[in-house]
Amino acid sequence: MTAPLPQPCKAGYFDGQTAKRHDVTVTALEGAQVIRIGFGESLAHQDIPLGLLRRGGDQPGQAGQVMFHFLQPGDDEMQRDMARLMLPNAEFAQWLQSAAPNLAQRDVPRKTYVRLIKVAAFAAASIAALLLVIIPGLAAILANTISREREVAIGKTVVGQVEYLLAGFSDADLTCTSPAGTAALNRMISRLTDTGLMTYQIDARVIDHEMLNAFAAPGGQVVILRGLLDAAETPDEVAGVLAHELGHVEQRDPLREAIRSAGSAGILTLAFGDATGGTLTALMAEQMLSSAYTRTAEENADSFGLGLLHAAKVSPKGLETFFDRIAELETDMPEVFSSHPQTQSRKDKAAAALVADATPSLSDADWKSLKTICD
Amino acid sequence: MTDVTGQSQTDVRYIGTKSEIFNLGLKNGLLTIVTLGIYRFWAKTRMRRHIWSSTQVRGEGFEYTGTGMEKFQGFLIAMVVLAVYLAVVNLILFALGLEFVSEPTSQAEIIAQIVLIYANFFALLPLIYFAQYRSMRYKLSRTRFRGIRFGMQSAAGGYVWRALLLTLVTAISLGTLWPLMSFRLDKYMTDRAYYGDGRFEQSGKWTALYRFMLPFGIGIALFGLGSFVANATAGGGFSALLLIAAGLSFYFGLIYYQVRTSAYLTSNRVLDGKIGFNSTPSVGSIIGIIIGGGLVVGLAAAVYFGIFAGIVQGIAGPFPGPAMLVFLALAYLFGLVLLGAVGLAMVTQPLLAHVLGATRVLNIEATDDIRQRTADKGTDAEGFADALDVGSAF
Repeated sequence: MTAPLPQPCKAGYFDGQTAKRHDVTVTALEGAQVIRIGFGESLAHQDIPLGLLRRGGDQPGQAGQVMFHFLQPGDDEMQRDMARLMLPNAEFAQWLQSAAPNLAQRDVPRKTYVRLIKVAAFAAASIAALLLVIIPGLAAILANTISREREVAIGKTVVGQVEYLLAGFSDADLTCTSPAGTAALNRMISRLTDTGLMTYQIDARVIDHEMLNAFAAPGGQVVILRGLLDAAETPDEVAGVLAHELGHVEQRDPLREAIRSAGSAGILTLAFGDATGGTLTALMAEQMLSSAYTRTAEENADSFGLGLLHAAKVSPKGLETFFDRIAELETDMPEVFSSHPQTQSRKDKAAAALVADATPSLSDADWKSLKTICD
Repeated sequence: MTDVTGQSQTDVRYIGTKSEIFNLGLKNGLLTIVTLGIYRFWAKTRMRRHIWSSTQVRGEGFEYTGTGMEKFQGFLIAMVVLAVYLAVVNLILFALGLEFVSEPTSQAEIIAQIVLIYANFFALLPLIYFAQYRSMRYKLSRTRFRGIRFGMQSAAGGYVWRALLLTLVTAISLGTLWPLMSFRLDKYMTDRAYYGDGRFEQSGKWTALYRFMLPFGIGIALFGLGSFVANATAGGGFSALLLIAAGLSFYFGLIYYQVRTSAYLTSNRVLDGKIGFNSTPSVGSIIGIIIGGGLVVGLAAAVYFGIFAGIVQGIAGPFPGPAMLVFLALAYLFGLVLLGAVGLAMVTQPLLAHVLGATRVLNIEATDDIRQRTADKGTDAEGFADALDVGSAF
């Protein structure tokens, strides 16, 4: 150490027990690596090793006094009632800056990082449990409290919203209404619902939009977009899609999914939202078009759809050929195929459900009418 | 109120400089960007350390002993609690809202719908008051003067229901009982605050705050007059002038009310039954600082974002590439950090210097008898205030 020792100086000393200021004299001792604090009144003194001196960060510059404190072994922020030293003397403070080795050291209480990891793990696990278990569970309970009449009303509003969205935010009526096409669509629906497996009254429609998609809204509303009809080559392909969507209807998936996403959105944004019909249905409309249900929901809808096709004596192969063809197109997958690529298990199930006495789900004439329902 | 005659008066001084707070603000802001926001807990802690230690009485500085680490952990825990609470509230409100997806058909349905819209906000209000009290308790527990801790009782629950009740009363009275709310909430906190083993007490009367609402009264009168003139003369320059004057009266009236109320409350605070305070800030100086500093910040913003807009137009072209977009985003964020630091130097620092410099401690010698208090372990390091973004700049 080369810096010359500073002159002894007056300082304020606070013992950490009372707020009383003790006027002391601080002396740097030659070669001893300590500063001596002399209490004038009793001639008593205390020697502080330089290594235990600390200086709090971000204090104002030399204009003021510098506060030092000393560490005692085993201290952490919760226990320390350390003594403080207020040094008004710039020369002495400057000397300490170079002589005291651990002045700027931040003393982290023991187990700080262990605790940090525990807290972070707890937070991550809690959020995961909330998103994956608690919210879906609550959504299912809440969905069950909503009556069927209410569900149907909600579904109609949501379909209206989807139409509004697809029409580029205008009130144009996009529902395709050619009489022959509508009759053909209804015949296909009847064939599936006459199986006696459905408890919902189905209201299906085709919307004139090129998007390749189909979805089920709450309460038995089923919507096919024209793009899907354009891409389909046989009626069984459309029937397969419809049967899958009817599965969602029967399981009340659309309603449950909408409620679940509202809960999740709430926590993901932690922001204010409103709970009015307008925002709700807009949210749900968005949801319908981009919907992806849980894998379980998709599998249940698949099983239900296959059962429906089986009972209606429609071949389930249409869905598979349809998927294989769409997979080659450069287009977004419609919801019905969103649980792929586990196609193999799906194909196996479809094969197991193969219907020996299957007949085409629509006559050639009806199929032509359905394909041209929007013309 | 204690009798202050013949007692010693000691000035409070704020010795932090503009350049120090500017540098710290800039460093904090840049680190916050680089760490995607995580550094903000440490940033706030460092800013407090600086401001606390720059505040001195008889040359002895305050000390802030909180840490960024404990704030970060408090935030994580508060986020979990809030997430659970908000998710459940949102789910239930959504399910109830589904009852109203179609057009309301009766008066009752319309009212129910309106209630639902605001229910989300009111669900948060108790948490906001809770966060305010906890934040104050945390800050006091991490503040020391002459090595002795401040502290506050654990009593957030009582604060929450009083604050909710007073908010309701203030709303129903159309704001005329605002002084009651200001006074009672402040008194609730002050009466539970300690310096070592010395207890703070809030004396004074809430009705004394009414005289600080005078500029509001003038604003209301001007507004009424302006509206009346506008109706009588079908618009015109004079009524517009009156309405502008009304707006200014409201704005400066708000500052006036806050400054004078805070000074009144400080001057009527007593510590340990014998130590008093006195605060006489000048509302004119404060408004001057806000306008002057605001102009500097506005000018800096105009220059920086003027250059920024020039770069966007000149170099980036109509379809900037991804590298350019990243550069622009960073330049934009840097601009915000820079302006924040300018604001700290040109508004915050002079305000602190003025308000603290206008404060005096009476009979400070009596603090010699004050003894240390035990550390407050039961705080969440104001995690709720951070999660809800409640509270002040520092």
